[in-house]
Amino acid sequence: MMRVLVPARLRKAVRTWFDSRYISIANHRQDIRDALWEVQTLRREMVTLQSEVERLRNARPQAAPPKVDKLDKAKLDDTHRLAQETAKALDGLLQNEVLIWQAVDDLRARLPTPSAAKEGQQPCA
Amino acid sequence: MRVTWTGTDLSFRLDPDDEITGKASDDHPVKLATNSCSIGGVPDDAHPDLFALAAWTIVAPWTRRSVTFDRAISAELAAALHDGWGIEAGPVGAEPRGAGRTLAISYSGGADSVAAATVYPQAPFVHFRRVPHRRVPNRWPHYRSDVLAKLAAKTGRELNVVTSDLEFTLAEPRPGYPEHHAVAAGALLMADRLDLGGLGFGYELGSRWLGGGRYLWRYTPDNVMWSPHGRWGRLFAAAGVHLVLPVGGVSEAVTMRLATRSDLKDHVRWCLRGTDGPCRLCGKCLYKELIQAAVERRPLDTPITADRPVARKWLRKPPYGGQEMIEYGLARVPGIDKTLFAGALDYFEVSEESTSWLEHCYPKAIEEIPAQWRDEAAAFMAANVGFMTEEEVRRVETWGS
Repeated sequence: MMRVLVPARLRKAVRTWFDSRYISIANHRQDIRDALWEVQTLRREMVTLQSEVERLRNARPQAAPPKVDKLDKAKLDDTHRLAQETAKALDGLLQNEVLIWQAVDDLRARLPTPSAAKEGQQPCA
Repeated sequence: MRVTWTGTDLSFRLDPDDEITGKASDDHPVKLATNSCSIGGVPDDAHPDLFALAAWTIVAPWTRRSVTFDRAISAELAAALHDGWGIEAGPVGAEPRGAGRTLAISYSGGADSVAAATVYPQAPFVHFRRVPHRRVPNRWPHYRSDVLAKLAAKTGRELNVVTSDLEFTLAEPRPGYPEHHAVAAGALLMADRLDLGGLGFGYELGSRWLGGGRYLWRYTPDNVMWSPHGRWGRLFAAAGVHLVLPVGGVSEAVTMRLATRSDLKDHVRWCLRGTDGPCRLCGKCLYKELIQAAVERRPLDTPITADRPVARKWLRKPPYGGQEMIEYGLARVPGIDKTLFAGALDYFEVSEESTSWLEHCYPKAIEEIPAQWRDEAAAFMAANVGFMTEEEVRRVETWGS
């Protein structure tokens, strides 16, 4: 290795030039501290947001059923029951109609005077 | 049974030996709700055999001995009814209807019919849309047929929407097609206008060959509903509209893959309930999610938990409906042992190898497509799916034995 004597002033100038191009250790520490602080702030915000999401998710089903007072509810239940029963009764009625036509046709076929020609022109239902 | 068409409104009367509780072609008991229905969006001047066949898809379960139509049918159609069902049909006296040149797709918008549509990119669509019945209270307003019809309209294909309340002729188990073929009733009445010679359905490998649907759990080469030589196949052929199953040789994993990667992928919807998208909460959504997750090799994404009623059937012992696809899903979905399907794992020894036959096309399904449409389907399957090896064919033909 070769050592060269460099005048102190020049050495200092070169060192200063180098130092000016790099961030000091103190500045680095500050940067890291700032970044850490930033991360912690974000973490706190995340926790707040998460609890907000959780709160909204839990709040939705509770908010969903609209306020129905007792009288309205009784009325609604009754209407629902009536609709169900009417529909069910109508099922039976429609089926009976089919069976009645079946019986009518059977009787008609047994009558002595055939009315087949006339029957053919009538719709079945 | 006596059948009368007034325009495109159908009414029918039971003969003395007919009964309100009958059986569909798959032996499922079905109860009649009422004896009238109508079909909209169709012309009223179709060939008499088409009117007769459309009516038969509705009244067949409740007919015991004979069926009398309001206009003469061809001897060929009467013979197909007699050979297939032992039913005397008449009056006879019309010329038979020759098969047309066009193949249309009976398009529901689900993954299977979208896949069928991609096999034939030129084929027009006929879409069946349920409408309320004027005499039967509609207790099923959650069934969003309007949403499905809108999606069908966005596909850009030639689209014919037929509206009908015929599903309300069925009281039990619930409103629906009295026979599965009733979905074609409107398409049949349009057959002359569209020059139809064939109608393509989305029925896939499970429904056609593995006894799917309301579950038989065995290999079904002579499937009474969907084989061309079965009674329905021969009846449709007699009316000049052949049954065509473009995706009859591939599983629901393949139809899912084809549909979700097709040009129509944005319009696929297998859920009947959702409005802005699939509801994700019905049994069908759960079943299709299992298949989709398996195809995309990702974990199951469903809000349905084991305590939900729709999950109940998967917690029981097999057999399951669409069992081959359950096995496929169990073998391929990552983390399936942490889902509600975990219990089902105990009943099967599944692996990717043991279910890989479900990724290829069963060749006999292509052979049974009528000649004029066979090559296009064969070329499509060769290019996009690949055919089964002999060993894989054996898996199909020993299914359930």
